[in-house]
Amino acid sequence: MRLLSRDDWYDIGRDLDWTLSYVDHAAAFPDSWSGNGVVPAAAWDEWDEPYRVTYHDYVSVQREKEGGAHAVREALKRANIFDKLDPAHTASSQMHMGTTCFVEQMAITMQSRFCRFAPTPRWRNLGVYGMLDEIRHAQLDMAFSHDLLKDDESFDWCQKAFHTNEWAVIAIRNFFDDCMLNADCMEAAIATSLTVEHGFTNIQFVALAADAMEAGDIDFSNLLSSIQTDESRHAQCGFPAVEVLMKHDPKRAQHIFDVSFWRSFRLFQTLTGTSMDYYTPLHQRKMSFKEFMLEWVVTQHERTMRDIGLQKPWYWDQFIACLDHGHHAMHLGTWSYRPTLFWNPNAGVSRAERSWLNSKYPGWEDSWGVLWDQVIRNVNEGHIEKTVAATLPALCNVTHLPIGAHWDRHHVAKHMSVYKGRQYYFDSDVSKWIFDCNPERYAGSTNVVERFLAGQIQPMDLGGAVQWMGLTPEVMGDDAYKYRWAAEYQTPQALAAE
Amino acid sequence: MALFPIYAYFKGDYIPRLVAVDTDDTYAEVAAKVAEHTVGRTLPADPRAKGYQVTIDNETMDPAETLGIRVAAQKILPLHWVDVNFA
Repeated sequence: MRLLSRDDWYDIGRDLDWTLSYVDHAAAFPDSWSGNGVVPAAAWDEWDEPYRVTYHDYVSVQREKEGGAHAVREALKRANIFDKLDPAHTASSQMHMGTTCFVEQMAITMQSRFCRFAPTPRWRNLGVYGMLDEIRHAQLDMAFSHDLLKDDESFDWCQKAFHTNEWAVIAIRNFFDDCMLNADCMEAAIATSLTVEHGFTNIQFVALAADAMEAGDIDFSNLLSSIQTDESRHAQCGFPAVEVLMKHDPKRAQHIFDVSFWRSFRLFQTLTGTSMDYYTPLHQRKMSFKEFMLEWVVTQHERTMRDIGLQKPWYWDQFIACLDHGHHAMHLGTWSYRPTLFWNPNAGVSRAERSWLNSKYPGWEDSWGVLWDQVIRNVNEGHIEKTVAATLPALCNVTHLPIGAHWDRHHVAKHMSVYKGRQYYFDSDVSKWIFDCNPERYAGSTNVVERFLAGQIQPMDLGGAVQWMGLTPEVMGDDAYKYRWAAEYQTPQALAAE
Repeated sequence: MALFPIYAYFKGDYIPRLVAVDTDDTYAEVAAKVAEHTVGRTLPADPRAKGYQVTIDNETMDPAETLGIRVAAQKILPLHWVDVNFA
């Protein structure tokens, strides 16, 4: 029997829906899950897929992609390329695997929510493919990391990280709980599909894939590129959703966008900013984090916002100013708290690297160089213990990231709210605004400092905190180059005495 | 005498930190405990400085006064923000 061509049946298939008789529509599609709000039912007739796909097409394309990704993986398993990689770059891949694999797993749940609760059958149909995409991504991360376990136990954290209390993982889990698992379909479409996936994953998957290829890590580059082809496709489902909401409740669309853009930015400062500007070996860097953000995120978002009718977030000027700084703060912070990491961070401040940082970030020396100078003095005087922070940083009650670490040392300020008798601190006025707009959403969550003070961490010191985070000696972070980079800062007299 | 946690920011550092002080501590002792986490770690000592100054809610504190007075008056809660700088 000849199969019908796709166009003969697609328009009927995508509108296939139930006529409910045993339950109310509101019971089958509760607003808390669908996020439909004030949007009238007829408005969903305007939801139009940004791409058309059938199960047959999907499986055939994905089979090719899987074949390609695993062919490279198998070939490289025999080539032992891991041994030849720069240790600073290795940190990037370990950080990515540990912090991303279970986000893909969470995204499966989010996409399955689209399949079940999205307000139109067209969107529910495409959710199936998004869900299959995310299953593939989580499994790819696990398979590639499993191959590398024999080389480095840190790759075990691909599977383990989200089952621990590691501080960065808590921050990431909290963000994706907010924009994926605790979000209704409309929120998830704007916060995750439109903002995180369409807006920011380019920087995680395109920029890091390019840097990984330059660093000779063909395996990691291959993995990232294969995943990105799916992300860029299913992320487009955010567009028709936000277009519908803009017609009927533009204020809500703007709010979801403003919240998710800031929270995404803070996360990518932490993960991608450090990778691009510090972990990627100097001679292999293609662009700085700021350059990539300006070209791929800022330009793209400005175009997207203009096309959709969204305004720039009210904090846009601050966001642009923070592009020069926040990831340097997160880098100094993560390096200073390196026993709390499951990778070995590169300090990335040799004289040559510093010169590059100053060329890309003209204010770097005044904001960051002076702090690193003191660290370098301690390294060269043999006081390594002084280069490791001895107490916890003050943490934000929205982002769970260190207060002050969105900008630089000239902009550290107290941002606090009191809600139901409890004090909440924030890393910025933007995070305070996010909390104040919807305190019930964030008030129940406790950060690492609050858990420490509640007695959950024993003994109550940094050693106890590291143990509580699940870090074991074989994976606990240390300087990637064992401090050798600092030697060039020694005075001629000190060098002669060695 | 009781341990009392504060969020302390030493001016010039890049982040505020959790510091355990004591209600019997004078503000000079509070400042020294805060400085321990910054001076000589991320900031060099200031040779021109005569000591440290503590500021709480825009009020400069007397170095000889104890933290406990403010705690008893309920003007300061656990995790209160405290600023410290070179004097």
